[in-house]
Amino acid sequence: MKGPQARFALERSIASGEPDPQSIVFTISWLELPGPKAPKQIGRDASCGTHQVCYLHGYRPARVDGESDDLPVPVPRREYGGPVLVSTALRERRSARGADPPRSGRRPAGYPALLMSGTRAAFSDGLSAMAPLLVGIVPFGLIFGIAAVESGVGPAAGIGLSVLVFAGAAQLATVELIGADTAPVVVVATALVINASHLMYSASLAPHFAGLGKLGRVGIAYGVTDQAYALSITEFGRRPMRPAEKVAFFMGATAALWLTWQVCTIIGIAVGASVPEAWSLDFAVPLVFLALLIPAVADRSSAAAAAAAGAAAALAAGLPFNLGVMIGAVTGVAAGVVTERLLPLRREEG
Amino acid sequence: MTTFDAPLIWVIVGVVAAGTLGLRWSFIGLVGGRVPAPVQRALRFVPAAVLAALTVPALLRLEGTIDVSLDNHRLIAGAVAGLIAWTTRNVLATIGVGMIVLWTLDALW
Repeated sequence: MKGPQARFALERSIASGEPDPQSIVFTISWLELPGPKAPKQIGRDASCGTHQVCYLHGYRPARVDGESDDLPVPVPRREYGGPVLVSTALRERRSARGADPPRSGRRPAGYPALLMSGTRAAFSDGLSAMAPLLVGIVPFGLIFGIAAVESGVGPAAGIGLSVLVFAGAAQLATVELIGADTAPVVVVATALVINASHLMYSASLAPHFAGLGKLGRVGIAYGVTDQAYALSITEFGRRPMRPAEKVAFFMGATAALWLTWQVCTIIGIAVGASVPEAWSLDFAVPLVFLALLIPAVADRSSAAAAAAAGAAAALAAGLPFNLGVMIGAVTGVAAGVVTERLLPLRREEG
Repeated sequence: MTTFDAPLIWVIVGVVAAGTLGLRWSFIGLVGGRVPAPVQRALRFVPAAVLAALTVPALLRLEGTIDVSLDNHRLIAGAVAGLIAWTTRNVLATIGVGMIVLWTLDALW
């Protein structure tokens, strides 16, 4: 029994109140085995995720590893999800028979897919959720690497920025401003203004990671990016997840992004030294900012913010220390706040 | 090319890194905190404002002065790229088209 058939059998047996252990086993193995048909989507449909089906209904699968096909035995409820629990029950029974000496922390051979734990599934969910976004990261990372070399920041500090800062737009602005010999204070201030929106992400994610230790929370904080934030907060809102699964999902998404970013930075740095100036690749930097700017303009007040910021920055660009970006950003935020306050008033008048 | 020496660059890298981690850690680290509503409203406009402040001068200004003539190839290429970004929402297409338009204009005029 595979695919839709298995799922149908599972749903029918759950609906009848008498879950059929066979269908649970087959559904789990089908859903959790990596296969060509993106089985995880089905997993989300099925009430609360397949690994919890066993847990909720308290059955262990029969007929695994050539065992007798006897009646389902209720499994005691435990904190963690089904597959782990099934393995524990099975191991306990087998070791009671003396067939299998108890081994702590290792899975019995024969059903690795069945025993995939919820956190591992969440980690790979995070990885695959990030995959489509990586396409946009690649050129960005390459351009950063090239800009790091062209601005004179150099390979080591370029990689240092990618590893330590791990925030694309701020890194790119830092490199650009250093290349223009901007006062260091202004470089730092501009980079931090760009990352100010991370405050918002931090506040929004905080309740989901409140259970972690101090060091764990620093680790999570390091991985906060636009992409990982957007994916995680969407996923956390879509289905019930245990705290450990949330951490695993976030880490999966961040790991994919982090690796891609570092690799692209290094490739960009390696390539950057040999790019002729006639290619005007420095122009790619404002193009990246432009590609990020357009989606950020979501409504009329953010459009006003962008217009005011652009105008102010262009007029102030002649100022010493490259203060134009900072002045533009502050003007833009103020314009956005003011527009937002005025807009509802105008609607009431009309 | 910068005239900064390596130690100064590393200091900047370190401070930006520490500051960024501080911003990200702020609420995750201090459990129970909340962003005050007015600050949250203002922060919403940061991405649009900062990115516009970085983009517009790079497109408008040529050798230190504002140039909105047809001679400013970067402005034309930027406008086309903006149109592509608007319609496709694709980073790669935006950069690709913008660069090709710039190269074409530079080669022809």
